[in-house]
Amino acid sequence: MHVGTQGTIKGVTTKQLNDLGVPIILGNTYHLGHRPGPSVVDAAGGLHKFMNWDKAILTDSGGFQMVSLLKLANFTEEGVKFQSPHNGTEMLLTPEHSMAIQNALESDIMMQLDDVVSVLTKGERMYEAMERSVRWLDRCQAAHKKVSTQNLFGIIQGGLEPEWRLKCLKKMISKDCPGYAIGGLSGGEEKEDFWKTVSICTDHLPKEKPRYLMGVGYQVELVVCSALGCDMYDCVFPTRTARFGSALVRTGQLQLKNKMFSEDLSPIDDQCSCLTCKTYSRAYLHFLLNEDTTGVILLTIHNIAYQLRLMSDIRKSIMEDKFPDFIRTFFSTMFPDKSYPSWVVDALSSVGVNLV
Amino acid sequence: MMVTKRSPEKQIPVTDVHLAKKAKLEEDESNSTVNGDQTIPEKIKSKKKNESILINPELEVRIEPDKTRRSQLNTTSHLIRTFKTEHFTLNSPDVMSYTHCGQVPHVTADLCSSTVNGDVSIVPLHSILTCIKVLEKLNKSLAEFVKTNNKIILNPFNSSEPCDLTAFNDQLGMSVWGKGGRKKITSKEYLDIVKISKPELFVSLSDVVPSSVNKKRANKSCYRTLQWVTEAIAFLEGNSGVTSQLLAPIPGSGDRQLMMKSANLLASRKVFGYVIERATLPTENWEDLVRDVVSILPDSRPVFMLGVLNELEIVKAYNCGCHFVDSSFVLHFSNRGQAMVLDSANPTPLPEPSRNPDHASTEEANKDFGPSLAENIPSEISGETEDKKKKKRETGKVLIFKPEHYIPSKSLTLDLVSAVYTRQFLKIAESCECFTCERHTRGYINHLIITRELLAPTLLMLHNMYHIRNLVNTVKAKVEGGSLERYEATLEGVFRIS
Repeated sequence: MHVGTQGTIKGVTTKQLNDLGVPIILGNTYHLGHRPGPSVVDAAGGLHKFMNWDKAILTDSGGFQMVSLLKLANFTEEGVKFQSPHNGTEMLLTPEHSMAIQNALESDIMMQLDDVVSVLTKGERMYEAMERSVRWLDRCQAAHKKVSTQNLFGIIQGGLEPEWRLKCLKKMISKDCPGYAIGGLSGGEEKEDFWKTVSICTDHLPKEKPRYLMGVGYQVELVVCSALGCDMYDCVFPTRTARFGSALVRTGQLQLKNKMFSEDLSPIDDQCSCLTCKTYSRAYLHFLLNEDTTGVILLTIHNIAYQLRLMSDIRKSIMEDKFPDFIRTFFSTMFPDKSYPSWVVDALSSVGVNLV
Repeated sequence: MMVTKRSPEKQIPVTDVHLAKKAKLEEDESNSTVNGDQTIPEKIKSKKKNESILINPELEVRIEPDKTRRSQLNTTSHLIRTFKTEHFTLNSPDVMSYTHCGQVPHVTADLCSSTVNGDVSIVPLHSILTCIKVLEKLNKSLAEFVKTNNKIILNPFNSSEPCDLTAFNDQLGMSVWGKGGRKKITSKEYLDIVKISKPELFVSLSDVVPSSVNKKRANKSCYRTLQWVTEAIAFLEGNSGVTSQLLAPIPGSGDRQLMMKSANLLASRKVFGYVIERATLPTENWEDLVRDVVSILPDSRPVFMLGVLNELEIVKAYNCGCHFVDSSFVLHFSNRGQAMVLDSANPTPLPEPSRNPDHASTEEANKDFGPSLAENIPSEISGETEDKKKKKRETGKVLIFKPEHYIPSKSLTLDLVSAVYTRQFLKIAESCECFTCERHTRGYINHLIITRELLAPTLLMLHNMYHIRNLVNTVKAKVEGGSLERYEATLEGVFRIS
């Protein structure tokens, strides 16, 4: 899923997204609830109509931004207390508020409000967060007004502690959500801990329901976690890195602002069929990135196309029963010297794919 | 042409005067004051400063407009034309897309249908300075490098900028403001750039100064610009491989006498067409002057007015006999969050935007959804300017733009930044069929502007560019119907009320 925080993927029109074949985008409840505000989106007839997007939309709960953007967020049983970044007054986001806003946005997938703590938090507070997230899922389900048109996903918490994850899994699965997210990861934990936690969750989550791994989006992680059994991802990485002038390719990334590309007349990726690769050279993009916003837009289009192709290749290889081969080809292209990160090797061997 | 390689600078003015005399003889056969011109060359030689020829009172020959031609400037035979060369064709009247590096700012090529982009692009020199070395090394023309099928006009002056930035020009060259700040480009350097980038057309270097400068500075600008034109002509004669066509800027900073003299001198020069920079003209009432100037230029050559400020000025420029205008002002409107809404086929003043009392307070309305995330939107808007620096950092784009100098006082636009539009889920303009109006609403664009999203100027560019192309089609129809003058008057009335 590509992140369109404020009701737009930065710089790209919805027609272009449609042409690229983007099936679902993500909107941030915190940002959209703030500007233009739920009542405006509601008056427009929901976020789809507001931004003219007829494919799927997922909205988050708004809780994560409280942690990532606001230093003064304080979680209580009632909700998240935070100071408004604009006028400094104290405000409260409860599970009920989060549901009301997401109902107004009319997203296809809504996320429950969860108690987010840093993944590195140890002990009591982490356990409390897990327990509270379970209780808040109850309140979210009770407050959710459009059950027939919007799907509310639960978020598995529990930090890096396998037992707590299992406990959370058990409790949440019993609540029969249409899908589940694995939350609380990608926050600076060791990669070893990361993949093991993902693996525990995917082992126990119901097979027939979508599993959404939150905050993951690097190429390597997408391939490994798909092998571990995840179905959906979100990350600002491909679009944000484009704004820094970085292009995603099968071998990793190209920093197009680097002088070495100033005379390179080849496309970013000669096998890519996006507008950018079909039309422009690296040299031109190198030049344009320094001169006009159009360069950023062109690069964003390429990075979205790259990631869509990566995911559709994964899907195709799974359907053809060739996923292990795909993984091996992918990693030998990404790491030609075969210096695979050890966590990748371990994670893949846990599902029976041997890289070395 | 008596230009010798050894001392071209001293010879040029003499040549100018010769040509002036010749042109004048050809143009005004019945003029009896011609005999005074015979002694000019000797007088020039005695002058220490060559540039004094333009202010030499002895040379105060009054150049009169060609009255017959002047009355025919807005007719079909003058305006609706095809200018052909071996390598390209230009159809007038037309509006040329203002671009950065050949790319319409904010808009990617897939969204640039011909209704947005047209088939001629203006490329200001500052936007391609950093790629010239690469072009030379790779042996690519600019059009090949930027992958455009449009004809390219290279212009050393950036028509979208206020011209006080050219105060740094001197007789050696012109100051161009690019990404790294000011860069001095000499005539030779510029002609080398033309040779490398191979545009279809190029404007020679010009010392563009506003009409507010004093007579001495205005004279200097004429002298320099004419000298640079001469150098460009000599360059084209000496480089038969260069197929780029030369457009000569008409200097004179809005001074009637200087402009008429310059035009008269340039009329007989070997150039493809002429450029009048809007920035050199007075703020208002420049139409008569431009008409006079155009009337003495050869009928077979196109006249471009670059840097017009709004729709009304486009119509005025055509009505004064200019064949082409550019779209640089559209970028400013779009960057400011303004959407053009003049109904060109049936111009009427804008109704006063009515504030719907039900929707006036977004804060109030959002309270139903919990007070926690509801913010007062209008307060956000006022904060916009403070974030300019941040925006600059994010987009990496340097905006050299002085609104007070540039904003036309009146124009028919919706300021989509205003909270009035937050809840208007309507097209920008009811009858518009542009990309933006077919897909997005005023409310959505208002949100994009307030959140400073990249998409806001993109959607506005698409609408505004489409809008002025529509206007040009209307103008064409009016010219054919012989009613351009009446149309201009109607439009002027509409603009005055709004």
